[in-house]
Amino acid sequence: MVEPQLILMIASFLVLLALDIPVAIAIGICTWLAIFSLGTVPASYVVAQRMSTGIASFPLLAIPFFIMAGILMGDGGMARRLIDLASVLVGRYRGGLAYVSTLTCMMFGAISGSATAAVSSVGGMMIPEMCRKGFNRNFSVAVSTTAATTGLLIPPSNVMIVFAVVAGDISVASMFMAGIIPGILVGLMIMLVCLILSKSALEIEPQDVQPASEARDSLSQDLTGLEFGARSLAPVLLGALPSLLLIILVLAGILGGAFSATEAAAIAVLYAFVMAVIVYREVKFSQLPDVCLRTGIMTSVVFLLISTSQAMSWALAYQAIPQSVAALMLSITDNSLVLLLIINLILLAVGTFMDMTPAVLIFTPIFLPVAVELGMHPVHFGIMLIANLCIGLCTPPVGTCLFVGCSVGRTSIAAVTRPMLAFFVAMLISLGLITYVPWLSMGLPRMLGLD
Amino acid sequence: RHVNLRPGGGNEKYVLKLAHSLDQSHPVHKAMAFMADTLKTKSAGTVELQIFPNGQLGSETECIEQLQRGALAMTKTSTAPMESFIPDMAIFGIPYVFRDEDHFWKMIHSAIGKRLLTAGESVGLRGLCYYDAGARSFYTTDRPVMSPNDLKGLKIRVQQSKTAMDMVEALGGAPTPIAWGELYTALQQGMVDGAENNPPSFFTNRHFEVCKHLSLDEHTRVPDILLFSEKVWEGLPGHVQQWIQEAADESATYQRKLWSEENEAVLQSVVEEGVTIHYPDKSEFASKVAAMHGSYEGSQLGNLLQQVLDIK
Amino acid sequence: MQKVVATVARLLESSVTLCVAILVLDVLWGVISRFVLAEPSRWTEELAQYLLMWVALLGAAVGFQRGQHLGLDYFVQKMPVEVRSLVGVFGQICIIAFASLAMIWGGYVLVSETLKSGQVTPALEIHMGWVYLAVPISGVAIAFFSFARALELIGIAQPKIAETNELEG
Ligand code: NA
Ligand code: NA
Repeated sequence: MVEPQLILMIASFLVLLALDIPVAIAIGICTWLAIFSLGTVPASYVVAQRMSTGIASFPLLAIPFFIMAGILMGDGGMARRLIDLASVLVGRYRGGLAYVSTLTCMMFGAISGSATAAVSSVGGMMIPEMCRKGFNRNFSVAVSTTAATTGLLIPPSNVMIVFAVVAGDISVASMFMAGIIPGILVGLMIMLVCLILSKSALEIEPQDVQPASEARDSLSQDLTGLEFGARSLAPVLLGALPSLLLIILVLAGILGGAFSATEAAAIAVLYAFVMAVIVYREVKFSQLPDVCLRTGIMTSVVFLLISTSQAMSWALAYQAIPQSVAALMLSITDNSLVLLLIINLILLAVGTFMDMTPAVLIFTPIFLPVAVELGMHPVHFGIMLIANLCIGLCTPPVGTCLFVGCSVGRTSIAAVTRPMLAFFVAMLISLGLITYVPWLSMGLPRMLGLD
Repeated sequence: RHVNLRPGGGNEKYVLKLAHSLDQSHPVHKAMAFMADTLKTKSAGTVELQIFPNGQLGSETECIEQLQRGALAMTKTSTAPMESFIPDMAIFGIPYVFRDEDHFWKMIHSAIGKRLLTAGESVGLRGLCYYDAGARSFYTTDRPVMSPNDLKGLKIRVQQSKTAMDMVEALGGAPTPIAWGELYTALQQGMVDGAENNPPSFFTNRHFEVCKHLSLDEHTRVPDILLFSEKVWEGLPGHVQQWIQEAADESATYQRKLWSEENEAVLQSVVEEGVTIHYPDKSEFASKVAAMHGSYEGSQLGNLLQQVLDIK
Repeated sequence: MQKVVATVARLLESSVTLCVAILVLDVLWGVISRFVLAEPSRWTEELAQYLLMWVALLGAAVGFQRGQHLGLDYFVQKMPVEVRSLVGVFGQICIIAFASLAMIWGGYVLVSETLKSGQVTPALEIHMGWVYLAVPISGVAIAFFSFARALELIGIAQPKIAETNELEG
């Protein structure tokens, strides 16, 4: 049975989306229309209630804090110190800068909750440097963009918090632990692509060599003066240690029970504040109000989406749509391999034109019951969902990481798509492994007794 | 109007939506499914009760608000979030108001119990019946709570309710409000040292895996209430209203039986899982809260408290 | 008009900045109260949730003024310029419609009905209705910014038409 309200909802959503209406508003309008057309429910009231109470949740509170910690760390010189460390570790190999870029994105992603923070901070410094060393510009952008998505699998991760909240009784801590191995896996796969491509020398012809002056503009003095791979480990490690300690502080704090994920995020802000403002002094006290404002606006862009999506999931639940979808899918086949493949294909299609947060918000209530019916652990499903939508962050036409990567790398989406293809293959293989090898996700949380 | 009407062979069909935040294995959910069946039989299929478990349509407070606007027909709620709407409901959250289970049921069936059930009508909430939610007791990770002294320095998770926080404080513990969904991890990681709830919740949420001591001090008896939207109710014909009330009453009797069976079974299961059940001397706890009882003197809640204590 | 927009935006920006700052201090205080003082705070969690609601909703309005809410411009980019500005105006009308219906009207009902029912928050014991006030306030700001933006779009469209006429003439 297909409810007319559902058709109205989907049709109006697609039309509004195509007309460049902000996604959050498109979700809100189609939800309002669907509820209003029921004729029995005060639509405006319900949307207003779900919009407001849907975001007043303690776990979601971690998001603004991880955003703020990311801003403080990016502005405060932590990203640069991580690049130094990565270059000492992997910079000496052939195609070394590509590994440096990947590893730095992973490390920075590991301390900030968002992929865009990683692309803009790390990509902003690495892409010009790679170009200067003879890497193809578009290849450089592709590396940074795809590598940055590992930050969403490696904790802390804002989108995992969003998932834990919409999925219901799932602890943020177990999501965080579950993401570590898959995140590292994706990172290694990306490095593998770099290795293969650097051997064939296909992408690394010095066809796009930038004059050194251009690169120097956007680079810190340390980095331009740095001979990659030539420095000794100790001083560089010492410099990056405070940033790495933050990862340990956050994870150990959550695992050791000292604080909740939200409080760990607040501690991360305090720590990043001390490092950026007091120790490194790269952020001034007078800049703090601006940091607060940027945090507030970035938070609200995500939260307006969460807010209207909460209204949409109410409308879906009220019509018992998730149950209908689950029943429909299970009526096609009860082979879990096939159903997981179908779910992944749908999500990949969704990811091409929808951003991650709304996709998680809209599709978790619909697909999670199917996955649970198949015997999948909700945490495993969450990791699969996020790994899948990470690919979508880099695919045109809508991909936040792609947008940011292209803008910091000063190139176009069309130009970067071709060198991206090899990385898509690597991510797809990782996704397959994550989907069909539950241990990758569940191993760590089980070992720590978190599942 | 505010009821989902669907034409069905000349007879009007009523679809009533009931949302709650419990799991489908919970005795209250089973009682609601029983009510749905009863209604179907009584109405010859013209009244359908659709149940939405697991908080699909929002938290208890949000569902209550949706009832008030007529977006939802029914919900189940603990009396704790009802305090925000009907201050008198706080009576159930005050520790040691009831001498024992017998006293509790006498109060529920007295004029006071009936008055509290209908007290929400002024804010658009019609109470249909009470469901048994047993007695709440402390459970802790490391050491048992045998007397109020044992609570000293222990962080105890409480609901977001002022009375609950006052209660734990009066008994000597440090009340820590934490979302229910986060509680398992919080207990496991030692963010809090214990919590308080009824044995079936202790069991179904698997808190027994981390809390090895259940101390049956039975400090409060906080029932559940089945609420109906006043707005939706007004749109129903008299005979349908009567069916609903009858089906609710029957489900309440059924639920009380299910609950006591469940409670017994659960206490046995947690022991098998390695939990030690303790039976502390309740009078020590009761004397600790005398001051809290006294603090209500002269207020509306104080008068109600006296009336309840006077029930013999 | 632009002056008013700038003033309203600055007012909202200051409120968001202040709310974020209080939010950080509030949650940190919650941690301190549990570790250092060993007496967990009763109200920090509740205050944080409601502050978050205010930050998100007021910040969302600022986001509209700065054009930071993402949409899918793939198809619109392919349209001719005149159609594009028409679609732009339609987009602003959609935003105004949603802000008015769901956020201003729905929010007004939410605030007034909640105030009438006397619901208070558990820890801080403030009227829940006042907490919900963030919804209609944000709605008014969003509608206002979108209205200004729509006027701007119409203004951009008009001189261009005039210009082309002149060229043809
Ligand atoms: Na991360
Ligand atoms: Na995409």
